Amino acid sequence: MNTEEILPAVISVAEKILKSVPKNVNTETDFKDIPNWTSLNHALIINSIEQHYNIEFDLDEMIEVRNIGDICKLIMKKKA
Amino acid sequence: MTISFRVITVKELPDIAGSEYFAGSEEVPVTSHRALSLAANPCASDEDPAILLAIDEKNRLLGYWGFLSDHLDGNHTNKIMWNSGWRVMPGASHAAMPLLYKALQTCGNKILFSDLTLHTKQILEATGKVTVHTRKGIRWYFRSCSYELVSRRNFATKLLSPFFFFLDFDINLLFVPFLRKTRMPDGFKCIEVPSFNEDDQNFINSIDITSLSGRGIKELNWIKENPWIIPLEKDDPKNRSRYYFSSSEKHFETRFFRIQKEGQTIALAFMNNRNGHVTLPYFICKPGQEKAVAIAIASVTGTLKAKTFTTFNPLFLKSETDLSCISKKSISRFFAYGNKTGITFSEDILIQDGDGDCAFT
Repeated sequence: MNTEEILPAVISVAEKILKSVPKNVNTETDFKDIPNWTSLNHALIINSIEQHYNIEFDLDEMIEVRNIGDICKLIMKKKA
Repeated sequence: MTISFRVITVKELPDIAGSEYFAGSEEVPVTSHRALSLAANPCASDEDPAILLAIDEKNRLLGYWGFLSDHLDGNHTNKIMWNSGWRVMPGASHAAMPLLYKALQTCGNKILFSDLTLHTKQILEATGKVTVHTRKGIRWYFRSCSYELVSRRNFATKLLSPFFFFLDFDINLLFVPFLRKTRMPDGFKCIEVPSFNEDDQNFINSIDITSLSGRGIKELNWIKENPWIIPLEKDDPKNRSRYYFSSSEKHFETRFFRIQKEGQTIALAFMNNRNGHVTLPYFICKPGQEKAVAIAIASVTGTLKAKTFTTFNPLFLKSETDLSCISKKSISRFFAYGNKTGITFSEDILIQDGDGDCAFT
């Protein structure tokens, strides 16, 4: 499993919560550059990703998450 | 985008609050009186976290989180933290979630929240790291105070505020003179005391109730002696405008009462009066005496010239005491705890209205 494989799934989860996600979103995209990426939506997206992959992120890991790529890396780490 | 964190411990608080960094900041994460109060907390150790700062690469404040140390049910081996504020600066919303996760991590997720807004409740629930409970309470209105409510909302309602001023005047003129005065029950005495003493501690110990935070006289006296809200005239306007949460009020007072029946203490109460809005942060009563004591408390609200009286206290509500008022409404308060607090929540645990930082406001 690599970032390219995970990215579409992460975007799909985000799209379900945010209703729409800009087409140019990639692993470098900061959350603050995605419209409607509020604190509540952040928590909902992370929760949905945990359910989707049947994983649970630790607080230590969540503190460092700033962009889409960080989420992908965390999923890879958990699934390794 | 760099976010780094800095924990200010209880020991560091007094010095930090008086530091040059704080003096030069546009917004401060604590007032000097709140800092001194936190430093005097009998439940806190020197190394406990008091404030968590989120700062950027240029050392600018992005947000902060306040902690208040406590022990579950007075058990000094089971330390927990109350959240006493979560603030993110305008334009720094990207720091909100990292700050939340860092705060939960800092206290090992042994954290409690006493009075959440609906929005914060939704965020915390969505993290799955916190359990939320809804507490039911009642607010009695003894005066119409719609003017007060609308004048602090937004510009549109501010424009309408003169209308509400006259509406309040009319309602109060028509209804308030006919409100029934609640009288002290026969044989009861409500004695106002400047502080609680050892006899009061013995009384607290004699009541067989499991309380959530189990505050004793040391903690209650500390709260009264170290208020977080000071009189407006004692608060430096420059400092007040730099602090997001409450720092001062036109009128704020904490009052302690010992309720006796035929010379024997049967209840203790601690009431806050904030501009006429009275609350009951602490109330403990001998089992079986709830009804009469609640009436005694109700009679005190009259002497405090209360505009409203609000309580979620299950002992008070169990008594089903109804007060003569112009209106009343059921209200809800969201209470939450981190999944590592070790709380097994049940109706038998007494949560005081003032548990956590609510006692100070």
